Amino acid sequence: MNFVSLTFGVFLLVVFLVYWAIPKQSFRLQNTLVLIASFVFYGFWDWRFLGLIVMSSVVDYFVALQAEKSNSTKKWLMVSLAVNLGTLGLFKYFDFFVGSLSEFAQFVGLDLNIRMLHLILPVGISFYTFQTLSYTIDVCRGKLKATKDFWAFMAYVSFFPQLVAGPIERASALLPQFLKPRDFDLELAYQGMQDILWGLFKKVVIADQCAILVNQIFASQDSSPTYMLVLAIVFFAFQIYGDFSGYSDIAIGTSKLFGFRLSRNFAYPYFARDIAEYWRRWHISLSTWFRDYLYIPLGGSRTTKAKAVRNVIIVFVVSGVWHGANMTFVVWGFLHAMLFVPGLLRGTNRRFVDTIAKGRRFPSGRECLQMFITFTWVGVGWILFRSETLGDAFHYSVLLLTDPFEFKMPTLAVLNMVCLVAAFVWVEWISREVTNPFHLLGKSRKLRWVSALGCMLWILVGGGNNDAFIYFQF
Amino acid sequence: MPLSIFNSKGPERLLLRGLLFLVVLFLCFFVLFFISGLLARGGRMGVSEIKHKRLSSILEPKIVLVGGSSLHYGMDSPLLETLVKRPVVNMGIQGSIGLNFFFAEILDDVKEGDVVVAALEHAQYYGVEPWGETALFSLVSTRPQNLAYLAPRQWLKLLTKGWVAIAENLKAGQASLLRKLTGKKVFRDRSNSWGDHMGHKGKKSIYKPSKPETFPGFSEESIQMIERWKKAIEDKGACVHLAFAPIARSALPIGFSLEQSSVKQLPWIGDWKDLVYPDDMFFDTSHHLLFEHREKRARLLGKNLLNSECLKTRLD
Repeated sequence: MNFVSLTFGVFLLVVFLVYWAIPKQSFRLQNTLVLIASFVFYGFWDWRFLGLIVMSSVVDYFVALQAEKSNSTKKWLMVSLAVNLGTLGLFKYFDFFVGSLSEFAQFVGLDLNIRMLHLILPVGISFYTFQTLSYTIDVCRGKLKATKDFWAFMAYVSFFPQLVAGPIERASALLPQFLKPRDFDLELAYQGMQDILWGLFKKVVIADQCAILVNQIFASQDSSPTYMLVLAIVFFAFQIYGDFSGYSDIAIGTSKLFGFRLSRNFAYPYFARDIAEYWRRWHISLSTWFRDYLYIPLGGSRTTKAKAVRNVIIVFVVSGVWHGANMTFVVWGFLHAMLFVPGLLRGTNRRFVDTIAKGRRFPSGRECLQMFITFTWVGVGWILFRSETLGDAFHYSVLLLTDPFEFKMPTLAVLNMVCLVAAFVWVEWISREVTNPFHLLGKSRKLRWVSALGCMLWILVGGGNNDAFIYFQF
Repeated sequence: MPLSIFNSKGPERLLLRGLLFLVVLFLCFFVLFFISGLLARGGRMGVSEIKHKRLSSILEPKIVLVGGSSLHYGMDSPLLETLVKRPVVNMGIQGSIGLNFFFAEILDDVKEGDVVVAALEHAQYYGVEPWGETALFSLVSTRPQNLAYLAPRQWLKLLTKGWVAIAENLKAGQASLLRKLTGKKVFRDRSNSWGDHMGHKGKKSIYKPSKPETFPGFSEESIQMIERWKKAIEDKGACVHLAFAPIARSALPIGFSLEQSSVKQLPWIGDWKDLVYPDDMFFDTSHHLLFEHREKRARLLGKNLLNSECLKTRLD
């Protein structure tokens, strides 16, 4: 079930009505409803894969309980890792590794002839696998108590707003919310509606409209002028940002309607002044997951410089592979590692932790340059992300660098998109100190109504092209 | 005691406000729908006004041409008029406006002795709305009277798909504004008073042939709709003929034929094979003739009309 559909609207309304009709004290019944709703939501894609979610939940529920009782938590952790990562590996990476191995074997003159499985990738598997893993790891580390409430745990793992594309919610943050009664908070619900609205705007108006032009330009890249190739990368940057952060906003907003608070997943990443800040602002729930469960266990930065560099490379390459079983993602991860390492070696990776131009209307010239350089590098990475093969990415880059500059009048659609993206950046800029532009409006009812109506009208008028969310494939 | 299914007052308040929001939203929709229609009047759909003006102003028996863009681009109505010695109105704008609307919009102005020639696009014989309703709703918004010609099922669709028409109108309005600013004629002004498009005069072919599709067969729904409208028009003392739109040889569906029994009964004039032309006779699509080839089609239609039972009877 896609968030951007009438079906989801009806589904949400029905679940909302039933959920808040259940007496507050019966929050366990509400959890059961959330669980059923989540299964229905997921079942709309492919009910056959519900078994994987159940399996992952059951294994981690029992592993955590056993690990808490046992003296050898490592053994239980290994069970969880084997089941979760094994399933993920089988469905997502088996063909990739077998294919790569066969290619390598062919290269050295061997014929391995290993059959590929061609399995369908279950939607959201990377997200819920990491979510359940975080629970087991935290319990094994003694940071979290294992829950005995099986249904609450199941509801936490399969919570429909964030089941298929995050945010990857830590058990320590979300699970306790399932274990106590929830009060309906009208202000929180309004905020939720605003989050949903802004998320829909980012998805439908920004991402989907950018997608049309990106697809056109990438399809005709050999005959497109250089500036269009550059524009296509800029549009893709906003496509993927609008798509993914839009999904996160809808997920966060939907959760608020049920009295749950999810963590922030995006914090205006394109205003980052260096790549380290970018990664503190882009897909925050995944970045912090890798930081806490991979980078720090590897030794983090509190080790020798060589090891710290190694750790960064491992984390970024794994992060690339997490996105997809393709060499383009591996190289994308490696590129980001290379961009991250200089700051690590100089010890400057945490120099930008505050909001840019805080208390000022405009950024300084230096800040503009820093943002431009960071965005340019991120854009280079997006070429890899958008391309199907490394060859495609290389071809695009060569065209970009070698084509003589030629100016052809852009179409009206391109000009409109440039204006729209510029306006969007402006709105994001003025809202950079809050989580959502609607929050700038304060409690003025008139302003809220007018802006919500305007936003909704724009979504409906500008939303002719309804694409699936990009991150579903991960 | 207030009746509520909820465990607190909050959800109820949220729902009521949500409902109010929806009501206001749909009111805004209609306002925006017609405002955007006004903006789009310089565009393709604005031509409708010219055509209707002519349709309602002719009092003597006339020829009413009904169809899609192949008529708009590919008919020399003044020539046809001299050939058949009757006033001609070319109502064709765009195929995606839909079969139902083609007939519905002319019915009020069809009078006894009129001949309606429906030269439909090929795809319209294969399905009632092969291209969706965006163009239809765009047209409706430019001329609010057109709301009356919507079928009941199209009303519901208007609320869900009308938003896309607003977007199209805004684009058309923007394009018209840019053309005006650069001193060029807007689309609407490139039609003559008969309703023929003149904007491709002197232009060369840019049509790129594509692979033909397999003939899907005639849609019974389309045929039934044609039959219904034929009867409604005949009830007003007018006559209906069916014709084909010209089609580029490379685009003719593979296996195309009129063998279906329900199709044979339709009041065809002329042979469809006469309208299959070489690709280089087309302007930008497989059914938009180059300006200079409109004459050929007009002469063929004129000849067929003069030989048709409909016109013969009327002329007698």
